[in-house]
Amino acid sequence: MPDSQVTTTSDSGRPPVELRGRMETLLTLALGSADPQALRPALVDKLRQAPDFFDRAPVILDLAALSGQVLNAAELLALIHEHRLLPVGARHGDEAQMRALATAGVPALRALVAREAPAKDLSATGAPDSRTPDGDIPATAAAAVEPPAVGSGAPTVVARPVRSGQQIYARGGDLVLLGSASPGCELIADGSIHVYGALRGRALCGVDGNGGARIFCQNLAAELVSVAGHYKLLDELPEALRGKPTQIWLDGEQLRIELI
Amino acid sequence: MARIIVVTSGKGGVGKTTTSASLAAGLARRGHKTAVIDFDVGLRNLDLIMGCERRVVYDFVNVINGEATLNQALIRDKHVSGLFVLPASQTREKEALTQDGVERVLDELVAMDFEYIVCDSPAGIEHGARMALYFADEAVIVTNPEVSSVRDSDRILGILQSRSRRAERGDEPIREHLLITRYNPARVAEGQMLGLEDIVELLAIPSIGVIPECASVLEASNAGRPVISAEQSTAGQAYTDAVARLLGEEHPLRFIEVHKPGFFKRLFGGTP
Repeated sequence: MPDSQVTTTSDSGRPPVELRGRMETLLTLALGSADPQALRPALVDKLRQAPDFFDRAPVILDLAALSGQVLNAAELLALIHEHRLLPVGARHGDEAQMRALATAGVPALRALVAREAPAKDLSATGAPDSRTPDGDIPATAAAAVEPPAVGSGAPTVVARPVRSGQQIYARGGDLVLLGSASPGCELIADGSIHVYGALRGRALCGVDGNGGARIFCQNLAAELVSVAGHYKLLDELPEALRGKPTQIWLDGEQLRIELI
Repeated sequence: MARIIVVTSGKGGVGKTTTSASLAAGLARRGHKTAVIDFDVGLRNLDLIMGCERRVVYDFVNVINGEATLNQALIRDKHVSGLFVLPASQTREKEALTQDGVERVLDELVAMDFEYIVCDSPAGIEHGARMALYFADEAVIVTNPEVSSVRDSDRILGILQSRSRRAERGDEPIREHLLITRYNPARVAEGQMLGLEDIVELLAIPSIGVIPECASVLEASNAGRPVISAEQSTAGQAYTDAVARLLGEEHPLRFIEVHKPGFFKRLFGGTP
């Protein structure tokens, strides 16, 4: 997507200031309650699932579920900062809520995001439910992004088997797993995922919205695969693919699983 | 140098305590001074299997709290020399096991020249299980040939790799050994149980033994003797092999094939 630019030229030829309109993928924190006491345990639980990933992550506060409730902006922001999240904007709130947050330094994003539905991927107040297909996926594919080159960062190479209950996130690049991934584990990568053993858990690639990411494996036995938020449960994997070397990629809106 | 071995599984009822008792007794019979510690605070069982429940005066938690010395709490086994039991407390909560307290007791056992310290973990992945595995040098993962047990073993392997002292310090990882218990070759052949190869492939760790399903296990535990002392039984012999493999010896696996009755036995019947 080409950037639209508003430029003021300086004497040196290089503009001292540039304004760029650019879509960024941001996490949305959907609040189901205005009460910090109710939010705290849910936040703790949610963030514990991937503490490094959420550390100092910029988030947009989604207030859609709080309409009409009184919001103590200072208390709410203190709680969010305490969990090392950085609120950069708020949306879907009512007049009073948005004003309170704006006064506390969190601007309203009404104009920019009017077409988006309230995000559901980080519902901090719902029952902690890591079993929903996208419950742990940090970003949805709904947000338009400028695709970075696939695997632009250094790959994360894991030499040990990934066990049930373990979660590995390769930020900004590919995930290369030399051993097997057990049922109940999660492999997550901004880039592609390569598994040289058996892939038995969940594999989510392109989680920052990169639709060009792919999953490659020697032995497909995954429970769930996802490319850029488009996921598929593999509970009824055809015999032709089960246990076979396969690749999984996104063809438009369609997730494709093919023999290599 | 003493080796701390945790016997763990995640899942309950797979044979952790039976295994702890037999491995500890087997190591002691091979001449190594061995202590076996029951970490299952509140569900004390090891003393029953070891037949010393009437000799428990002080327990693990008493020692941690400074209410008794380790020497007062350790129970000397009547049958095997060089074998000692540190029982769990039946009246406390798992949280009574503090990390500092457990470390002090283990350090003291090392200072008393114990060569092997076997930690019998409670089921689950909560505090008691974490304490049992935290200081381990080696782990024996007890697994039954069924999918939920294998899954839970896999989970506990992940915890060993991330939540143990060796993992936190970045030391050489805990040595992991798979021990399959309640193995029934006939049911494996009929497809009712997972086979040895499937389990090893799923868990990707080396096996130190397969203990066949055997009536002697229940008989021994009711009698308060580790099943390894039932030398005629298949389970007892399989545990003896497992102890040898734990000591680095190589022995072929036994009792993993379906036992086919011989021609004359089929012809004339008779007791096996």
